[in-house]
Amino acid sequence: MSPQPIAPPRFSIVTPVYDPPIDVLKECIESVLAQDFDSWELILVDDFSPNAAVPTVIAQYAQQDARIQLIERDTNGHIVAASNDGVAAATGEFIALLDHDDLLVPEALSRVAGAIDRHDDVDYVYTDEDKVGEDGATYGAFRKPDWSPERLRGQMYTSHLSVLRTSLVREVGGFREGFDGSQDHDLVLRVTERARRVVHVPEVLYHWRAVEGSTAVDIEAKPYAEAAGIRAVQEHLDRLGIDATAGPGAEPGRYVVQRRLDPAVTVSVVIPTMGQSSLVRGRRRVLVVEAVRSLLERTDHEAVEVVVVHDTPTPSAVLDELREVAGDRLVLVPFDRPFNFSEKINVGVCHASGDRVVFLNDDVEAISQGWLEQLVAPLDEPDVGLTGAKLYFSDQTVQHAGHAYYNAGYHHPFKFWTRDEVGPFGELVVSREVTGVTAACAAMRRETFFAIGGFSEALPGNFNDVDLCYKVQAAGLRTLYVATSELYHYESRTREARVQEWERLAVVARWGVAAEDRFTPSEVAMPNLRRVQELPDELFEPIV
Amino acid sequence: MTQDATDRSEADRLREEVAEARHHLLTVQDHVVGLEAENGRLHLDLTRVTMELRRQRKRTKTLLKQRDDARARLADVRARLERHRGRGAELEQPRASIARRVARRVRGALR
Repeated sequence: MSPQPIAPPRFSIVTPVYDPPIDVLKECIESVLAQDFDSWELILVDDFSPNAAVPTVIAQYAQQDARIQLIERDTNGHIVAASNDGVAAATGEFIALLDHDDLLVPEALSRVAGAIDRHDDVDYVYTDEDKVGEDGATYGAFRKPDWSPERLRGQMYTSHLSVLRTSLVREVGGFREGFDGSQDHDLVLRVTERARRVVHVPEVLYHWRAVEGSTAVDIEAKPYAEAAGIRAVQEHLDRLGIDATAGPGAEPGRYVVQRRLDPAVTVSVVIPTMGQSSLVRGRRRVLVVEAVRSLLERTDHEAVEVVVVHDTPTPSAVLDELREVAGDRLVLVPFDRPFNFSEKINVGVCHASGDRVVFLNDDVEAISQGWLEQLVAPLDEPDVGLTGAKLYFSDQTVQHAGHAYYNAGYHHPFKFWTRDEVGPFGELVVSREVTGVTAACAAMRRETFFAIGGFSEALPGNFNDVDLCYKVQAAGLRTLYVATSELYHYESRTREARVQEWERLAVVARWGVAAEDRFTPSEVAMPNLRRVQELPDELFEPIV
Repeated sequence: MTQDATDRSEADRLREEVAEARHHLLTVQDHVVGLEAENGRLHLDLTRVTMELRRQRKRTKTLLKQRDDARARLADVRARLERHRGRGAELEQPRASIARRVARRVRGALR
């Protein structure tokens, strides 16, 4: 017997309306009428617009198409009240949120319906979006990551188009008063806490109108939204039992979550070294000594053990200095086999006693106070398997802000961006899910490390961290880039790691060829390349 | 050597043995995870290739049917062409005038 065909979902498009320019409102309604999918209703809630033409225009459309409904409010209740009126009137299985001046692309609803059709437990769908200027031209496409709960705490990245299961919206109580400006962020946080499945449709299906005074043009246009956003994130953290404080981020619309690490958690920092010295900003220093000194100075966590795995030729003076800096927190593990980064870390972890293990290169220096707490605390969430820090070269340009695997390669996106830059869509300043992180500074739960078999010793030099990250992913765990854990990595800016082809093939044999990154799409990771691709062809014509 | 020192060195030796056992466990587990990953990847590749093969077989079948239909049409067209050519050639032959052909037929009937 063939399975019964599933009826397509019905969408209730909820649009709170307050005094938009009439032509813009018409364009918005026309974009819904132009959908290539029929099963929808458009609920326009006029929030007592001063311009009487607004409800008149909507009523005219409602007369022409029975799927369009006008709700007229007697008072101006602002966006939360108006949106809730729309939610209350919705009869569809899903609610799609559409602002009164924005546009849906003709395939928007059919594409979302397709995503819902593939899984029967979808509770929330979001899509990519771009902006549309006054001349009608679209620009600034935001290619979003796949479902990224950590990023949602730092930024309302799902935004438009958001489609939520109606029953779940009602179950969580709809939009909440007092969260104006960040009411959608607050709603999505509450819905996703209970959602069985969240799906990302990686296509631009929504044009966000960029007009003077809108957030699309100026992120600082609604300052009251910032406080509401911080409160929404804080209440979300409290509901989930995450011991953390939400605060303002590097720019409006971005938030920082400062976690507190349970003092009872024991942490082992494993550092492989040969005890080498190097010139840093004109001064010769023993790298491992300064790494240990800074890591201990910039953490308030007491239960820290430093496991230094040192090659046997390491000068005894270096070991003495380490004893002096770390005291009884130091565990020295001699290593007398040929160089193998993976093996050295594995041996170190085997000698470590902490509940959490941090892998640290010896050529790093902690910058941010509490770097260790911020790096380790997310591991309290059971589905977080690995965390990585933000690393800078000595000149304060970015060395690492998460890996991205695409175009059959393993990349460090945003390399050489400066420390004060936020990234194309806040990627550098918002903690977020990533496909991988560098092992130069990363943390795991001890049991996870053993469950996935640690670092592969078949990869002594390169890509051992890539393999580790794939293992974490295969175990169904999340990998986080933690923007608030900052360190210098005194790796040469100009040195290119010598990679052997067999190393790449070893990773590919296990995990296949990387096509497109789920969390940092290549268009975001290589914005300059995109800009080059958008340049007119004649610029590339050969000069005769 | 005092008893304490002996106990300490024994404890150190045992700790080292535990660390070695853990290390052994790690490398074995890495092999297991790696093999499972490779197995999964091969399985995915195989599924993809099988699907592609199925698609291509279907396409080949369709193309073969289209070819056979086209061949049949071609044979039919060729036969019709031959017929038309024959008829054309026939029509192109120099023929006697109708009066002469009628006379010839009448003469034949009278014979």
